[in-house]
Amino acid sequence: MRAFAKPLAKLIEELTKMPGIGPKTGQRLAYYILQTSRENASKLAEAILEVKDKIHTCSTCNNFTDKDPCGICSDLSRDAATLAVVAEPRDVAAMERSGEFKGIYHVLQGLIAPMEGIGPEDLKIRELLERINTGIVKEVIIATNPNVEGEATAIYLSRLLKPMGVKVSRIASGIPFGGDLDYADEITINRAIEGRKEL
Amino acid sequence: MCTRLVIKHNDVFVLLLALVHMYASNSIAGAENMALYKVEGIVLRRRILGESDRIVTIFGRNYGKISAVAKGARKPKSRLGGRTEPFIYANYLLAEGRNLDIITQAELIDGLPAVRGDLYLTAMATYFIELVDSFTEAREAHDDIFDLLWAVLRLLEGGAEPDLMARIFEVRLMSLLGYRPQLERCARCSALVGSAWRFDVSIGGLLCRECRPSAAHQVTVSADAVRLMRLLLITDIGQLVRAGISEKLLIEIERVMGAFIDYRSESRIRSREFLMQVREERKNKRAVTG
Repeated sequence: MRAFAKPLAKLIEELTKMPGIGPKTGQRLAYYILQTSRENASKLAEAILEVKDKIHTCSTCNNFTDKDPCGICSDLSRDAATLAVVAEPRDVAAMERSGEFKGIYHVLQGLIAPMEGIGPEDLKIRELLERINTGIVKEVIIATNPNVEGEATAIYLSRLLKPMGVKVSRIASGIPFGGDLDYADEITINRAIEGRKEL
Repeated sequence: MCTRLVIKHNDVFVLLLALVHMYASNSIAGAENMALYKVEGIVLRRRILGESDRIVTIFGRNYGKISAVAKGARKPKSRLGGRTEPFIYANYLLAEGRNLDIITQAELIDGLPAVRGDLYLTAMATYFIELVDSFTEAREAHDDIFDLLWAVLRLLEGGAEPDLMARIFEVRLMSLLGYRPQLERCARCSALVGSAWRFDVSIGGLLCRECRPSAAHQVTVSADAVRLMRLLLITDIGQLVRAGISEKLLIEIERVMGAFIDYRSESRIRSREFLMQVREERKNKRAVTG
């Protein structure tokens, strides 16, 4: 990268390491940073370091948090008897956006993926069982994605959890809201019919 | 003078021909860039591309392994999401792209719902597609392997004994790939193998007592297991399903074929570990309920 002065080239190189950022976008971002005030630039630098220094996983639910236990786990107004199992922290964020779910979470930090060599022992399953063993949780909602990995993980978990005497449920899968039957695939339609509701 | 003129005429003619040819070949090449083509195939795997796309590897009849982009497949309202999951059997319409081709439409043929609803069957189907994925090259048609894969997947869906399906698949897959196990005579000297049977994975066959100075790469195998392996290679699958085959022999063949596959495969077959794990749990559960 002889076209750029050394510090600028270094910044572009670091930016292009990020997902979805190619050389062109990297250059644009670098020029923006160069032209913005020193204050803005140092805010950005601080924010990056703060995330690295202060964010860790919650010792209870494994979600990303800056305090331990996290805001959700320590919120007494939430229903500690209902626990949703999700794959990633971003799934907690998605469920929280809906505002509908008032229970607590458990983040597995992945899904069973045999072809990638990810087995149950690589996930936070032992920690989940320990939480169920305390006897507070009455229902476990398995909210993993409705794909091969998510389904395999759900079946695996239900086998482990059912003998422990908790209710195990699976989030519904079917036609998305605002969607179109005509555009839905056959498996989705089958599942929508299987999981139909009486009106 | 006259002949020179004729030559000139010829030159003009040749030049014209060449121009027409160039134009024609160009336009054909241009059409190919935009071409759509149909693939009947089974999804082997997929990985995330960017924000919401997927790169899907399809094992296609007449085509072999094709990687193509399913745009927007991770969005909830995508038409492609459900049709680009592993071991979906569907008709795909692909458009040739600059780098990767693009899946424009998909029509489901069979989604194997029973396999998806059972952990052991899911693990088994994953093992099958991983074997196909690791032993085949991109864009090399293998219709025999395609038919074999689909036959065992359909039988799994229909409730056939999964471990029998696995052994049939392993023995036949290796043989279609050109590694047909030598089970009749000594693979080195062609002598009849009398007793104390050993399968040498580096040679891919049985060795007689004289031809095996070292025990490296060798797995002991019973005469009954060898007989069964021969049957697995040639007997009609439907007949094998009905035959009621001993679990003990299948376990023995699993050891032989596992070692043979590992020797021939360039990469570790990762899904096998999970498959074993689920089977152990399945057995324990059966023992408890039985």
